[in-house]
Amino acid sequence: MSNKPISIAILSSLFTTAVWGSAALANEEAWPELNLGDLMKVGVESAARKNQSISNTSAAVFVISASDIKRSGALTIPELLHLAPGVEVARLGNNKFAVSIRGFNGRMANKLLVLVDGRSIYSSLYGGVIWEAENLPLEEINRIEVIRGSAGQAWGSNAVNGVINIITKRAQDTEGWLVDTHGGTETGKAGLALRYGSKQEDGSALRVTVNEQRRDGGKEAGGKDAQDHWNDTSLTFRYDRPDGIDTRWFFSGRVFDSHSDETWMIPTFDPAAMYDITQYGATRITPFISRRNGGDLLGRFEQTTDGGGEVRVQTYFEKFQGDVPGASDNHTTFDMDAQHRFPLGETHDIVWGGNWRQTDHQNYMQQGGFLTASRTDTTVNLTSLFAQDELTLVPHTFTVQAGLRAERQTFGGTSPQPSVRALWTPSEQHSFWLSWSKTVRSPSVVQQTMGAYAVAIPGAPAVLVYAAPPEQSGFGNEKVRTLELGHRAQWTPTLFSDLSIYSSKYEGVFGILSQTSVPNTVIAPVGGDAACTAALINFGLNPAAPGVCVTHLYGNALPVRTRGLELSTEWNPLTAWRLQLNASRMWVDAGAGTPYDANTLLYGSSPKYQGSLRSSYNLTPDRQFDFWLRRIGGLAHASDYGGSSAMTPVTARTELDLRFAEQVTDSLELSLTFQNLLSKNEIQFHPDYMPSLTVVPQRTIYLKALWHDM
Amino acid sequence: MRNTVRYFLLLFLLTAPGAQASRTEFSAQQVKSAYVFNFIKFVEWPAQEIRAGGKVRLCVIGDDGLHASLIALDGRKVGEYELQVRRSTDPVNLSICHVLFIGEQERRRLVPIIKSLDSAHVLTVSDIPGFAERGGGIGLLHHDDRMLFEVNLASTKKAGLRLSGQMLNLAANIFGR
Repeated sequence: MSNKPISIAILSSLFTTAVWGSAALANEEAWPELNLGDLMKVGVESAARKNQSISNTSAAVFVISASDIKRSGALTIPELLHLAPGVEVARLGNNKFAVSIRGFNGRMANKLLVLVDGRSIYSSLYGGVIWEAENLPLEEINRIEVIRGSAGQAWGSNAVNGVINIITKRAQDTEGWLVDTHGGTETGKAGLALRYGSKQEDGSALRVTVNEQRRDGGKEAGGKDAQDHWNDTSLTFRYDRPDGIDTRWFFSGRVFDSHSDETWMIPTFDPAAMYDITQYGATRITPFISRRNGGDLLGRFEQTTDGGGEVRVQTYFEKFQGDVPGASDNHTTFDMDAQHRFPLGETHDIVWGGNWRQTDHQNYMQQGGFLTASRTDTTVNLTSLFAQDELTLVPHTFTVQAGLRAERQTFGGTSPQPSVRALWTPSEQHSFWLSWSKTVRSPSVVQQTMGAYAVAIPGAPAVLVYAAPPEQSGFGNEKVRTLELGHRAQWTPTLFSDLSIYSSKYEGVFGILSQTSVPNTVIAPVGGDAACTAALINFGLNPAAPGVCVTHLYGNALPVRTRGLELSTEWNPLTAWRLQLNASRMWVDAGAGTPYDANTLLYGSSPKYQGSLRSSYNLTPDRQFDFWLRRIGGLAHASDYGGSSAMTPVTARTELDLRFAEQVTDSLELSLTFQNLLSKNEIQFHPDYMPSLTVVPQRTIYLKALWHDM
Repeated sequence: MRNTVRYFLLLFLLTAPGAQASRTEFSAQQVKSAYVFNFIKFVEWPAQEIRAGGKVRLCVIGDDGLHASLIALDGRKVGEYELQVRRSTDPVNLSICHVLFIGEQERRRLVPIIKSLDSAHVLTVSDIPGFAERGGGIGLLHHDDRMLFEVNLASTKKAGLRLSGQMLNLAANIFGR
């Protein structure tokens, strides 16, 4: 947006002496002469506002704004999430991601809840987010709120280590045509989003967006083309309708079709060479296309009531279909959510509500091969009720909040999730908060009902490892108790910092029940154990042949403790220059007193430290230069699956992204983005959960044009 | 590729430290103050509330920074009125204000405050997201790097205020028409 020259000279002299929190208007004489039309055109630093809104929150919150999203140069939501401190993001290739907060990262990181406009995209089948199916056009996003820490009381189960709230723009704010297109290499190969929004006289508005993205495959660790392409198409809409003085409706929906190619290494046995360990290994399935499609529809009603309260009712319906070898994800979800917030007297602010969700999973397992399941259709029901009270003890200075959610899930049973929080704001510049909370993670369908035959352990005699469906060993909720402390400070008008310290204690984290608990682990000669016999027959092996069969039982195996700190700072040395420095450090202590440590945590591996420095600089009013440097610690990581790359360590890496943008005309912006510039073809994460190949992310360069007719 | 990196780093280092703040950017505080001041020119209160040349009482709650900015304008002429800036923390007396700015710190009490004013002749202004939609008068909103405003005409009508067409033409959104 190029500023009109009007009043600029006067304005510049006005504002050069701006002082925080004091009479900023050096030249009062000229001040009132500014008219509304001029005001609408001047550039505004929005960072301070953003920080102010989070300073009144008794939790570790970071907000990624629409401007951050644009200037980050990221093309997918997982890459964007790296903007927030403490969020772990790793690429398992060009179409697979591992995203988590405060540990337990993995392709299906199951301790992080993600919502899009209040619709959960956490898969109750796998437990985690299928990021390949999330292709929301980035221009639709108003902001992303990243809440770190245990938040089950407010958001429900699975918000164990945090919640990511993706909030889309109101239709009123996206009037007219918009074309967002790019072309380049690798993940930036080609993209086109086309949007049209229209506003009506009554204040209602509608927008429709079509989006098509194409991404090239990366390289295998050995240098071979990995063919992990990712193409997707979607159609989304949002309709906002105000009704009367203080009521509003909001409807949104999408249909999508996403194709992502993967190569899997499937464990196999050769019955003819049972004792020749070199014959055991993996079969390459090259490549298959994992196709996911579906749609959803969401409706929300919000009204302020005469007593000063607010009511919100929301419902959504979702249909999803996706396939991988041996398993499919066919489900429909219906969700209803209602909440009521109201003041009680001068000092209480009460929020209460409930949620009901039913997800029907059909035919998710194809029996045979290396997978087995205790059932193939299941319905997951979730019902919860919650209430919280925020009590203001000293206005604007001290508040305490206490709340409880009671939730019932099909596999996890009933569980209370309480929290207590306090916020102390001794001055406008400083705030301190303290919180204690308990959250549960409910077992996913796969985790509960699916078993597997794993690779033979090299050595003689041959060993078949059979993992029984955890349902059989009574797997239930994982629990976490978290204590957190935070401090936020606006040190000077241009320097803001946000520090949080946490300690979390997990109980019953999913894992192999210890070898030492012999009753749970059956080590028997082949043919001596019923489950094992069945497994061998399934594989076409002779159950009477000599050998050893180990049956693993999975369940609530591990106590885990994590501690850590996260720091985010923001400094505006010049109005045109913004610097953000984030850093985090984490200590994991898994299974004290058991033979397991962080290395053997199933589905989990996280860097000990991460750091990021971002610079957003406006070279001229129409020219932006962005620089984003990240350092991510190595992983103490064991792949779930065998294969050539299993032993390659994931070392610390440095990433650099650059973006250069030019506002060519009022309506056209061109930008050139370089991602992953320092890449030395490092592995960022080993495959887990699904036995895909280890893929090495490459550098991406792309040119983007953003045009809108406003 | 290495050369490209060097080029950009060089470009960055050369331009960053000595660069001029050539872009005319203002703090949100400054723009908010200017907006509030300007709105007064386009609003007509019922005659019994303020007579011509009378004083317009502007109250700010939940935003000390903005209050400090606006206090500098206390006693100034704005349109046909004289501006009087007050900070109020007492919710009972909010209806004595002609213009009430509700800041971020009052986010939790936002709806109770709006409701308590009922049909009092108060022009409410806030930069809390969704303010106008929730029954507030004028909401300030961030759009890319600019600040715009939207109006809930039903609430300003309920408060007995007349907003000039010139101002409504500039509003990004009008609710309750």
